[in-house]
Amino acid sequence: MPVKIPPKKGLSLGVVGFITAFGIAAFITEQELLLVWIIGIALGFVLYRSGICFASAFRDIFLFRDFSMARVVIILIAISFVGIVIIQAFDTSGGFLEWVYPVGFHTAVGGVLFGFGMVLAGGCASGTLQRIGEGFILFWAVILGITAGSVLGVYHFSWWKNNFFSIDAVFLPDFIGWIPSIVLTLALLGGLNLLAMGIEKRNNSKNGLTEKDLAEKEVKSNG
Amino acid sequence: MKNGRTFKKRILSGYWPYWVGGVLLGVLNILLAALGKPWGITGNIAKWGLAVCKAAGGHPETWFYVWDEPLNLGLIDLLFSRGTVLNLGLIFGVMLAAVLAAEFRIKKVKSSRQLALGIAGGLLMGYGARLALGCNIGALVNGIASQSLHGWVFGLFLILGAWAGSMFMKYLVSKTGN
Repeated sequence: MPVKIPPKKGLSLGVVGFITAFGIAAFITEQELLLVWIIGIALGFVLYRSGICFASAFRDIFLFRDFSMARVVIILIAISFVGIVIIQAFDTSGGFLEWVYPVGFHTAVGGVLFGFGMVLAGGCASGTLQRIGEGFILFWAVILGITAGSVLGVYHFSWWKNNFFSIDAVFLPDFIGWIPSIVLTLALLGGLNLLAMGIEKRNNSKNGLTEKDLAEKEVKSNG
Repeated sequence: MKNGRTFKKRILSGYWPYWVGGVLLGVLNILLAALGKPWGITGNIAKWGLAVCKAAGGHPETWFYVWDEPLNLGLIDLLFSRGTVLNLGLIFGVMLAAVLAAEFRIKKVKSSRQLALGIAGGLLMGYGARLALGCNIGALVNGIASQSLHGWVFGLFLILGAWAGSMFMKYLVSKTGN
């Protein structure tokens, strides 16, 4: 008797099949790539199940005075910072300086354009990949836009860098010392978190919400 | 036994609290950093754009830019590069999570306005990320986490841009009523 596979099951098998096949191909090309593949899949799984979106983290501050996602971004930066400082401290090759890039007027222009664009599109770079994975046709158009914009950005980069203020990578510990840089980073992140909490609390008391309402809201927002 | 099943159900189809997601993303980011370079997304997308340019007869490899590694636009090399494996992995990780919870659906584009906003937003993001040498992940999260000044500068102006974008969307909605 032929085994009938329901369409949903077929899709699951297809996804698992591709993940396995590409993982093997990556492993054959370079062993370390299999680890990168698994980490990438884990990133996608976490992003989808937790519903974290960087674009809405910033948009919700201005449209809904909601800081909950923005504070998750601060947590993510703080955890990454602690791990990366440890890696930097143990890395004697100085390779970490490759993660430190030039800064200048182009960084400011890039920040404004990126911030504006992610609100328009309804998702930043990670959000775009995430929504492609969820099945949104729209985000295929967004990623085409990102690709075309990137090519133009690479093409124009030297013009921005040469005609306006730009300096080589600024690694803060080189300028103010390791301890002050670590303290400053943690203080700024902690300060931003407190600021977000403070504004949230003020807004909520203005709206007359009690702790119980807030707990209910939290449960709802997290499903 | 029943508890075990509910736990599994919560992992596979329940929504995880934001902070759990934030902590897990941080741990995965640190693992990537330990493997040589923290998480980044848009640099790889730009390389695919340049590869298409090159295939069409252009010479993007001669354009001056600050790359994280020597630029290699060969298609097979690019497919099995760290960046592509990571981005493709993310897409399939989302898809896996969605199909395991039976939540995967093809969602059509709602309107031509949504499409226009999506393309315009994508173009601005792509251009902006290349000028700033990174996106929310590469520049904001990992710039700040690597103690690089460009992360803070990017973040400050990103907030300005997001504010302007939010006001623009508010204006658009008030004009058209949806």
